[in-house]
Amino acid sequence: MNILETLYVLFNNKRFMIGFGIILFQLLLSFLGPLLYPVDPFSTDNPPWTPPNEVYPLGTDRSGRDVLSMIFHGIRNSLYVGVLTGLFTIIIGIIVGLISGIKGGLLDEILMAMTNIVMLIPGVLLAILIITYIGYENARLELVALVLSITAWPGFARAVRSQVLSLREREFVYLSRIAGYNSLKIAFQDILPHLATFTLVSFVNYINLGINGEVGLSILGLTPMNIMTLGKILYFAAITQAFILGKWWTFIPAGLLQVLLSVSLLLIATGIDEVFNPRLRGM
Amino acid sequence: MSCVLLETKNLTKIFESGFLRKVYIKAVDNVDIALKEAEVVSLAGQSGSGKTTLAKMILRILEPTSGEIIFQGKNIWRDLKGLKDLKWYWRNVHIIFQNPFANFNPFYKVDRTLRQALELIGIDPDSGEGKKLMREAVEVVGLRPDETLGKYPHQLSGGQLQRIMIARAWIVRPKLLLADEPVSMLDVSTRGKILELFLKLRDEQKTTVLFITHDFGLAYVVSDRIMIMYKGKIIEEGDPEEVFFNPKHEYTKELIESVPTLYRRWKFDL
Amino acid sequence: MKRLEVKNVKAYYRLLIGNKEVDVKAVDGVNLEIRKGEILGLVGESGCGKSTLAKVMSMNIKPPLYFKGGSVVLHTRDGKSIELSKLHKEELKKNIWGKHIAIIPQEAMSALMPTLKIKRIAYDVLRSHNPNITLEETVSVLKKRLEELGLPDWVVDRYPFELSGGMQQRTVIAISTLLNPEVLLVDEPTSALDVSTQKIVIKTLWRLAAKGIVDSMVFITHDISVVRQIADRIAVMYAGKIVEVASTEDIIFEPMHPYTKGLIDSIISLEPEVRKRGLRYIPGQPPNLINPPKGCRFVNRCPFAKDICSTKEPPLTKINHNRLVACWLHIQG
Ligand SMILES: Nc1ncnc2c1ncn2[C@@H]1O[C@H](COP(=O)(O)OP(=O)(O)OP(=O)(O)O)[C@@H](O)[C@H]1O
Ligand SMILES: Nc1ncnc2c1ncn2[C@@H]1O[C@H](COP(=O)(O)OP(=O)(O)OP(=O)(O)O)[C@@H](O)[C@H]1O
Ligand code: SF4
Ligand SMILES: [Mg+2]
Ligand SMILES: [Mg+2]
Repeated sequence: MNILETLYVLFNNKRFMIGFGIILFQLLLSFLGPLLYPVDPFSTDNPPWTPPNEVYPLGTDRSGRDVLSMIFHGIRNSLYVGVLTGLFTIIIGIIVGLISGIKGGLLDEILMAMTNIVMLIPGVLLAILIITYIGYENARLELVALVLSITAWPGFARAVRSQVLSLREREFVYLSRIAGYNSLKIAFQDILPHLATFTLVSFVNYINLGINGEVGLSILGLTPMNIMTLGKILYFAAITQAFILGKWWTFIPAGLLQVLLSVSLLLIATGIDEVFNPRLRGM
Repeated sequence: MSCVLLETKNLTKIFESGFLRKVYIKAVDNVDIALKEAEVVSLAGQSGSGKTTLAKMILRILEPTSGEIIFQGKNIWRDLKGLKDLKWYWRNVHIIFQNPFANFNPFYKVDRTLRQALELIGIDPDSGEGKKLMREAVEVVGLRPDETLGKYPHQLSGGQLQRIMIARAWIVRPKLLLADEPVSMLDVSTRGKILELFLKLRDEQKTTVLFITHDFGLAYVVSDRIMIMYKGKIIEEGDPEEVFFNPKHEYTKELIESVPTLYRRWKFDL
Repeated sequence: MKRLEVKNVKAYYRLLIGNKEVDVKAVDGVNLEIRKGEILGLVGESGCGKSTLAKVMSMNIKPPLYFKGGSVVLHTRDGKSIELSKLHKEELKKNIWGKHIAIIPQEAMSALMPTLKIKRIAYDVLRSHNPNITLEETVSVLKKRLEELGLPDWVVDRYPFELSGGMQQRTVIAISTLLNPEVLLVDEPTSALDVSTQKIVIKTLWRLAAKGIVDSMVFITHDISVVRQIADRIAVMYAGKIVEVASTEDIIFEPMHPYTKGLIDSIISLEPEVRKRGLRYIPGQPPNLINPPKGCRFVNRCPFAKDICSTKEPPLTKINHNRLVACWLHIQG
């Protein structure tokens, strides 16, 4: 199966296509939006609590921030946090899981002890600790992503390790070994390709986790105040009691987009899984 | 009398499985065998008797629970250190695994396994010599290079894959070849040619072949010596005629009676 | 005399290669007759079309396989002749399969529903033909049958995975023949088993026929030494065609077709004759079934090939009342 064929089957998968379509749409929104609608999302020069009208297509919030502009910037930054979280988690998880699984022995025990400890610490607590230590005024989106991945990687690392452990006993790996290949070469040539699908699916799922996690941290007020994200929009809505006052335009569109983002990522993940897994098992 | 190439002493492997309550399986139980230079020895026995486990320990990829394996005077689990020693060992002791599909990494063309063999014996697979050897090896096992080289494993049949593994062994030409059910997927009409190859390796290269099979007929026809394995133990050993037509052990007798015969018909009663 | 007649049947697999449709001619003009009260062995190497022929004999045909032509006729115990190849799927399902023809496909062992007890599986089978039957009745019928076949009756209360491979296979055999069909088609019933279980399964099949539970049986296998133990006649298949049909002893001791000869010679068994003979094989490979050669399909491997062999196909011809051969050495061109 070459890359073109792969893409062809992938794009013939309904779930993947729907998910991909939604993400593409949101990406377009987040990049074209600010160009076509150049309004500062933090500017408070507008009348507060304006419902949607010709001037403010999605209205304004209590401080007079333009909701449509907040959303354009919010999607982009939320996606950024998500992708970054996915990347960090995957990278740490793969490195730890691979080393642990291939090398075994003492190193494996130390690494697994570490993952167990990190797994035991409640994520939110860790986040609060780190962010209050650094001070959230100094915090940046990269830090948010890092904090989220710190709580996410142990699960992934353990999954990788257990897959490596079973792959290691496969005949073709033994055959590479007895041809004199060292662990590094085996890891890259024989093991990693087998983890590709699983890693890709996990990556998409961790993007999702990053986006949702950012919302959670934002609602707790633990994310940088000067960067707009979907979580931040909901945070502003929450602290201004928009829910109670029925100012729906300040939270419904952002909330919907957030859910849509989540669902489309899930669709993409299951789509990839559907397309590749039976094939890999059959081979 | 030719000299001993490899011997095992009190070789034992116990597998531990089960999660809450541990179960111990004695897959190989106190096995002493000696393999001489240039002989085909069959290791025959039913499924689960421990044949593959024994082979994996000899190949030095599965650590024994206890016991020793001595190859040319070296205790392979104690005296081999570092990749250089191991490469030396694997150049001398190689294997054909049981399940032809599992021998191949589905992400690579089948050529890879042959290229690995060339690298192991120090020949650049991309050199003229390497390419020539690769084609030759494929032809030796009765395959056409243009129909098999450059293909992915899932594009070939079990029998074809099995023959490519034999081609790999032919390139490496080890002193000891562990052949685990090497012809199980081949058609009756083509199997003979491949079996001949093992005998040729024995006669021309002085290769020792440990021929692992559950097919008593095959063991009888190809081997110089037979070992019958049962529940991890070698229960019978000797000349094929002796083992098969004058078996000592009850189990061997019983099994031999169940092997279907071509020229004789069984009798059943209601 | 005749139980099932397969006349000039062709059944092809339709495949898409690139964007071109091609046919794999897995069964290509087969004539075969199964006699009343016989066990017929159908042997041949991997991919020669044995399983496809079994599907054709029961008309159990699903895409990509399609029926290209010919006829399949069943003669029932009560003297009726039914042209199966004219029936619809629904009719076959309702009136033929299970009742007149039982099929145990190659993957049968793994096909037992793992979540049902054996008696429930049997109940479902019987109920599809007789909606009024009760579970108790099923159990008593099944127990009687198990006893006839020498199987313990406790299997009725077990799940399939609680049974060993051989026991599963024998249970499948018992359940699929509960309705005493005239014909049983078994496809490679012993290949996944080790030798001692193999022998027990062979004995079970022999009993099934000896007790008249099934009248005629087609035993498909690539292993002649297995089927020779119980078969009355053997049909040899090569590249989608039947090349020789004769009594078991004739096939083994006096094969006439060069392929049969080569095949018998390559068989390795635990017998002094075989060790004395040494290793034999047929050089070359079978042709591919998308573009089979024009004349005899064995021509590229045959040591006796003559000119006519590569131009004209040898028809399956009667040599004497007990033997059919398709080879120009034995028939006039
Ligand atoms: N990695 C393992 N973990 C636990 N048990 C194992 C493992 N490998 C093998 N066994 C067990 O050890 C016993 C011997 O297995 P082995 O594969 O050596 O048998 P074998 O003689 O090669 O059988 P076969 O003819 O089916 O290949 C079996 O009971 C098997 O279940
Ligand atoms: N579903 C399918 N699609 C396409 N081709 C098929 C299919 N099933 C079988 N074939 C082809 O048809 C030919 C005959 O297959 P069949 O399964 O009848 O052989 P067989 O004699 O039963 O072989 P085996 O001993 O391996 O079971 C083979 O060349 C096979 O590749
Ligand atoms: S017809 Fe000709 S090629 Fe075919 S088997 Fe007979 S002699 Fe050989
Ligand atoms: Mg084994
Ligand atoms: Mg078949």
